[in-house]
Amino acid sequence: MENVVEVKNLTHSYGKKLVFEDFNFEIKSGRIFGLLGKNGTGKTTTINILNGFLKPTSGQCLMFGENSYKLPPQTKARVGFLIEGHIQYSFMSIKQIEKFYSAFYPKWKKEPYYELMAKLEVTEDQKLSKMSCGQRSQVALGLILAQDPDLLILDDYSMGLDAGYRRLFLDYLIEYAKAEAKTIFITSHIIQDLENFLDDCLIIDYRSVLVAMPITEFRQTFKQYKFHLDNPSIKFSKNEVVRNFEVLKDKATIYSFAGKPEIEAYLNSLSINSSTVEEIPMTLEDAFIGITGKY
Amino acid sequence: MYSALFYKEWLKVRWAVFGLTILSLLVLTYIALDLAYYVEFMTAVGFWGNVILLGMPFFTDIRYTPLLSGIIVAIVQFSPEMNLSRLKLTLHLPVEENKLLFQMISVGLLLLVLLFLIITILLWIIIGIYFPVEVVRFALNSLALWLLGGIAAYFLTSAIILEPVWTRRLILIPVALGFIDLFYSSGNPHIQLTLFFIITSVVAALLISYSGYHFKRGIK
Repeated sequence: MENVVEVKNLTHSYGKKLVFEDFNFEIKSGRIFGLLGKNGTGKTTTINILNGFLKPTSGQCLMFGENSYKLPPQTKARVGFLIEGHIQYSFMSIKQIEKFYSAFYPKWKKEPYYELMAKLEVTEDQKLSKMSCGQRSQVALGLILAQDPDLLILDDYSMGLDAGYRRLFLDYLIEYAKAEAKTIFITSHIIQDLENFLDDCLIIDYRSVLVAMPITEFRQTFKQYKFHLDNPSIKFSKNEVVRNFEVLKDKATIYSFAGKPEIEAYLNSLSINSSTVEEIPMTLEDAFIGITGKY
Repeated sequence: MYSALFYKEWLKVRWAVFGLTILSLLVLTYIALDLAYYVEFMTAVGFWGNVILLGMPFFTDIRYTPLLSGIIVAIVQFSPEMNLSRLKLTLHLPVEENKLLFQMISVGLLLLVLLFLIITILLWIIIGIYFPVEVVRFALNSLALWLLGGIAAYFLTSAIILEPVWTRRLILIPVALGFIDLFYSSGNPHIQLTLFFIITSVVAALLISYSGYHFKRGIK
């Protein structure tokens, strides 16, 4: 399967503040790829570098084999870009903005755009500045679908959207991506919405990659174990077995890619009673918080 | 593609251009009425004498209209682009980036040139009613400098708005003010001076591309 996006040894810093170092990942054609991380971990920075709006300190980003630092127009035409906050030309109306963009994209299909607009309580002459955040998000999505790009880059599509609009956004996106075998690169701060949407995930923390694997593999292999602590003062540390942990009075939680027998053996090696160890099922959001931590 | 970009820029600036056209017509009407009054009051020969021998100003009310036009068109055209980094949308269009920026600039420039052409023709007609061709030429020469000042103001204001680095903006502002002042403080205009201003205006236009480059590369 062809790599649509390749990020190689990417390092970026704002002045002295290092955002990430030696960052590597790739996105295969036809996959829905989620870049997940807490606020300030570099998701939007990554997207800005990918779209050529930021020159990385070092390393390389390739889109369709072209350096993202200087994408030729024909490659840009293959990329649909949703800016964080669904930013669009708010001085235009629904009709005007469709007319404007259609001139730039040879594969332009206005039907999906107007189909989506028909679901909104708006007229064709209504200006975007007079619309709600949810309505503007649908306009931005409709324009991307009409562009018919091979790669969709969606920077925090969920920002400012209520549950209904988030669902509408993803429902349309899923239907489109599956029918047209499109590649999607998405970030969001609402992890639960992406549970049944992503194919692959990359979870980042400050300056490091925590997880890079298919979402099903992550859901199957990343576990949460709870157990009773006889000695609450015991200190845990992160290692190959313990990817993260929480201790609250005499109750402990360990997040790990290891199976239950390994966890029990590990606890026994620390002279901790492992008889109360229990595996607790997690949602994707639980797993995300588990691996990144609450703080 | 250019017509689509023209359409977008037109949507942003149309009310400003309409307002500035009305303002220019009002100022020109005032000049025409003023001229008619002086000719009536002093007689044409007396008024000519005052203008030619004493240098009595009679068309300078239009002096700052081109300057104001250049600044306002730049603000209404580029402020929405910089607000919420909307310029990213434009720079993501499948067109070479510098070409896009220059096409945007060309739209503002074209509309200003049209407005300035209207001002020039009307002032020509108004002055031509009362004065010989030498006086008309003198007036249009002065006007030409003010119009160039308006265009330079458009370029420089655009460059300042497009510049994402605040410290560079603060440096650009006094440079722009000093540069624009050249168009208004010089005495008798002559061809060499005009050529100089045209060349420096082109340099100002290149500055816009430099500011756009800063934005594109995320330099803050």
